[in-house]
Amino acid sequence: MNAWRELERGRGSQAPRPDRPDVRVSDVASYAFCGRAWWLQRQERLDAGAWAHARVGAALDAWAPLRVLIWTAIGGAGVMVVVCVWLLTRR
Amino acid sequence: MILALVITLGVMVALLATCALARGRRQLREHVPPRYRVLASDLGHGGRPVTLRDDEWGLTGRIDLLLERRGTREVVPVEYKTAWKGYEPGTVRRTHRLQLGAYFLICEGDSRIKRTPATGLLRYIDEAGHLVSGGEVRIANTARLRAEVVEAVQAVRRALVADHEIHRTHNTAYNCRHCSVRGQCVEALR
Repeated sequence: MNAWRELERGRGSQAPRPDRPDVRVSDVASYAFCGRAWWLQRQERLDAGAWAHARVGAALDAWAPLRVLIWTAIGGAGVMVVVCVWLLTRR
Repeated sequence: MILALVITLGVMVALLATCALARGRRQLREHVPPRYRVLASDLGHGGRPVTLRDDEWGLTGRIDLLLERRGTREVVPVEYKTAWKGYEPGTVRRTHRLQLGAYFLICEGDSRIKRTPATGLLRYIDEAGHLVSGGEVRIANTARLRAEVVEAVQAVRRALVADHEIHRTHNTAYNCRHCSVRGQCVEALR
């Protein structure tokens, strides 16, 4: 219980300061893996695995090209109606 | 003749749209379960990346995917990780669990969300971005995980403030063997 109180002591609503910088979640995971690896990566940011992440993003946004297709279909149908009306009414 | 051509063209466009609709729906369902909606996504391709911040802990981050259940408004952070070679279904790395735990804190502390997730998801994907078999693991938001996260946050902050060379913080050769900066590290374990 005391250990828990000790951890809670760092809590307090405040903006980032030079002596209390914000911590990024990605840094937490990286530091937990190895402090030195985290430090070395800070010198040179590596982005392994970014491509796989981007593929998931593409799947999530699968609706975007779909929207274009749907509007194309609606537009095509509109053109068809106009052409049909023109064909049926011309003398 | 022209009428037949126009109708054929229309039918082809309709078929194409239906196929694309079905494919998009299938792909979306792989990542967003029914009755859930996407609150934020940091996966590129038109997603809505939102940087969340917990003022109390000074913790910031962008969740890969933040889902909200319709009706109950329960939030579920989802973190995607590339599955390692020989991935065993249901297994997770400690660091991945910690990262998700940090997102639990952020969801609780960010003024726009202010909700404590009961659980989160770790999803392991292959290089093509597809979920691997048994690669979706539900992680509970427990007091123990929270304590681990807080301890890790404070360790990182101490390291940031110290601004000097940081030394290896473990004695696990496995970590060194699978470390992306092994080539640059003079302290790597053999």
